[in-house]
Amino acid sequence: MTIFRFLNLLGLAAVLGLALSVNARAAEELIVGSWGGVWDDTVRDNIVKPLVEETGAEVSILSGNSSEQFARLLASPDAPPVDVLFLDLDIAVSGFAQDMFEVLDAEKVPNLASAYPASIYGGGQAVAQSFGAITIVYDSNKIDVDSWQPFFDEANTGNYSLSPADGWGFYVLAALARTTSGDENDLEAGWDALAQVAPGAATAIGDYALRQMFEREEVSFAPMYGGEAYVMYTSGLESIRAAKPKEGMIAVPNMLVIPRNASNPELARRFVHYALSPESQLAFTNAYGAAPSVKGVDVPEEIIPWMPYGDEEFAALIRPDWASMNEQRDAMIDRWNREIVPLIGTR
Amino acid sequence: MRDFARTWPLWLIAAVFLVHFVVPVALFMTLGFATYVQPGIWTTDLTFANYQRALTDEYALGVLLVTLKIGAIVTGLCVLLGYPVAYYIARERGRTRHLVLIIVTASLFTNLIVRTYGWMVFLTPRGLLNNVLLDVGLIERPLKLMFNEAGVIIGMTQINLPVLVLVAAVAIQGIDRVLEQAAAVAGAGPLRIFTKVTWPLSLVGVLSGSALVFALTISNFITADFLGGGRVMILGTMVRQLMTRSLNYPYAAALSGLLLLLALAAMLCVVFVYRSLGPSRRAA
Repeated sequence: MTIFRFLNLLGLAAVLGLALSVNARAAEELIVGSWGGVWDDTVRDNIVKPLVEETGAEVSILSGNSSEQFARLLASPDAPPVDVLFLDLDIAVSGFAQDMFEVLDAEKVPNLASAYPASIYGGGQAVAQSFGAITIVYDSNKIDVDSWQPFFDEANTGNYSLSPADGWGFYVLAALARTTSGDENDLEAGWDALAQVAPGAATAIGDYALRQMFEREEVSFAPMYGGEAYVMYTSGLESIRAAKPKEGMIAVPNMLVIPRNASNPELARRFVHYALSPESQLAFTNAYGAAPSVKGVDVPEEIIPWMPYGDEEFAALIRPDWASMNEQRDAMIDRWNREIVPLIGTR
Repeated sequence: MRDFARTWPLWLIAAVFLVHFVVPVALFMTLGFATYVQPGIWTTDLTFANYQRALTDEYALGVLLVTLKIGAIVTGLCVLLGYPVAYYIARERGRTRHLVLIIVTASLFTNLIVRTYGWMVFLTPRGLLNNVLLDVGLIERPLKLMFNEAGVIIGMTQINLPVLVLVAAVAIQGIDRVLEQAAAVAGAGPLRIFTKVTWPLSLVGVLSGSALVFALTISNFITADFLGGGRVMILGTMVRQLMTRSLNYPYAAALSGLLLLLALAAMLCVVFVYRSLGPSRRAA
């Protein structure tokens, strides 16, 4: 084959590729932004399945963390690449401020009527599909934890990890602020506390790598999402536990939102409807230790230690002022990089 | 007209490159002149503040220095470790050569995250390497090979090594063996033949490979994230953090511009050195 014939073929392939990319999306396709791993499996089996049975629609899941999903929305607000997505509250709050999501209506999403009032966020722009919390996950063979205080104990140097600033870092900042000053929004107290805690931390790393560190017994405790700890426990790390620290866990509502201008809003609303059904709620509880956000779901006794449960525990949850924090998020990440990162692991 | 009939695919590829790379990158760069308000929100009020911050902020300049340092060390290590392998692939014949070639290229087809996780398992305080060294009594305490610059350099060197090997191997293979034979006939020993003939003639390949390795290293945030454990910040990591966490696109765009300039500077260095080599060496 001559080089020119090869180039001709390459050219035809490029034309074909361009033509296909012009309208690659099927008309009745719902694209769901989700968080990956066990979460996606549970979404597929308990939300997507009944939705497909009812509508015959094609459903695709686009995995990524909340920041990545939100970045996708920002990149294309007029034609969002997802029709419905899960978001963490701290990220969703930025969207609320810009009125980026459709206000959910119980007439169009019937199961919304049975959601707890506290499950509705952003003036109706989001509903918590379930609730979890950032808490202290620990290896019960090594240590017993019921407070954030062990992070301050120099005897634990090297035995714990911190969350990175682009992970759960600011959730931890709020928890340490509550621990030392009694107010999760006293950020200066939080920064001082972090500066005390960072030198003894083995590292600051995300959930997936942290799991490996627990498996290799390189850390004994770390701040982590309770549901991830539950997944670790059910997948064989039997000594893993999630603490319910007396100073409180940090609330993590698992938000569902429909972007304005979504391609398939009808299907997206049906998705939210099925996500709030008692059956799907129970499935998320069993698979991920997620607390239900709708009335009438009986949580199995053995899963209660892994989630915030009951009026008292919900009242004690730490709820940072994300709107205020977001206003200074850039400066906070900058401060984290300058002041906290150099301290990590220095003791 | 006849020329166009023969070369239209080239023009089409150029157009695709323009539409799918140059235009989006240029549009993103213009975001660097937007005014950041808060996460995900910016206005179109024209400002130089983001580029000014990228070029004058002490922390950003520190990150830039670390990036350049890691890029230079990784490139140097890749040349040191990769050149002998490239030489072997280019000069040997037979099954072993093919085996080495397969091993080198196979790692290119393995997902970057998988390769990085592999290094995490290997380098960790209770990983394979430390366990072996402890077992044979060479060390008393595990070496700190992770969550620091050393870990990032080790990981990035392995990940980028195949690039250098393949580019250098092509250059070595292109050297006319008659030149080396002539040097031998003239009385030069193996070392002199290598330093005076083989190495200079393969330098273009080494330089091209080095520029690619450098550009790939300074923009690789995944390895820096995992093996640096949140403690090693390079420009790629910083841009990723600004894009996905701070949602400060204007500053991310300015830093991306800086990153792109660094990569282009590496390429220009190659061109400059290539031209300064003179026509006889360029022939290789």
